[in-house]
Amino acid sequence: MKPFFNNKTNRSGLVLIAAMMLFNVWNVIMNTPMVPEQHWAQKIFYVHVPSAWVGFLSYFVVMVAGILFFMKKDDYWDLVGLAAAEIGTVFMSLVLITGPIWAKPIWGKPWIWEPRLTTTLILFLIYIGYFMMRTFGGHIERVKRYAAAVGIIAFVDVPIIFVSVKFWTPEIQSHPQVEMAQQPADILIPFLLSLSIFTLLYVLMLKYRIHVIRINSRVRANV
Amino acid sequence: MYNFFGYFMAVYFIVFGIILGWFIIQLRIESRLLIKNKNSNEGVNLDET
Repeated sequence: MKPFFNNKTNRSGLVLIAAMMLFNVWNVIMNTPMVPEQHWAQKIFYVHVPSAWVGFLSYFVVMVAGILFFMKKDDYWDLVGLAAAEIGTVFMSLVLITGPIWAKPIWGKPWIWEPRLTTTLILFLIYIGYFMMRTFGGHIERVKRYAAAVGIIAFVDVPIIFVSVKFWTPEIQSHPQVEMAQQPADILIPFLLSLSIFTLLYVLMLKYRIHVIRINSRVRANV
Repeated sequence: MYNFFGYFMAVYFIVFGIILGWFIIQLRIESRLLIKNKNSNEGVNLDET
């Protein structure tokens, strides 16, 4: 096996995504409006929400990989599930770090036990359990089946996070109940651009992590 | 009054720092594993190297 970035397509992808991400940051700084009450803090939105999107997308991939693992009994899908779970947890960590930083100047405190924050934290903790089970779960074949099952069940929390803002009573909500489509174009378009670039970055990260895990499996098989 | 710009900078440094760090860690893991893989294919005992 060769290094991932020896492949010309992967190398070009990395350069292209890095350039697009630099453009994205420049675009957010220069071309998005200053929201009066939040000023610079509102621009956190352009990385915080795409990070959450990538985390949820990654956990969706874990669920699909889990289903395919049970259907096809192919270890490749276990490997995809593991890679996606790792990257999803990196991005969920970013959400749980950047959210309180954004909340501090806007809400006056970094954390409130309101539905969306609580359900997001629960999802993160489920995946901490997922990795503990992967590490300490015992026999490798049994761990693969458990991991696939946990990945499928854990995804139930994602739609709950999405609807949490409307599902629970407004009195206990801190997140604004605003539809994205109602945002003005000078906020919506840079946001969608940022979302797309983060998604492309995710695809590259997933491919790379799968590649690294495959080399690891091969090394373990040889030793 | 909060320093909104400071919060903005902190978030952007953390997000892109962690993503960059992730790539650096993967590069290091990959290169270490490729060396191990090459050695084991050549029959080198890793415990003695």
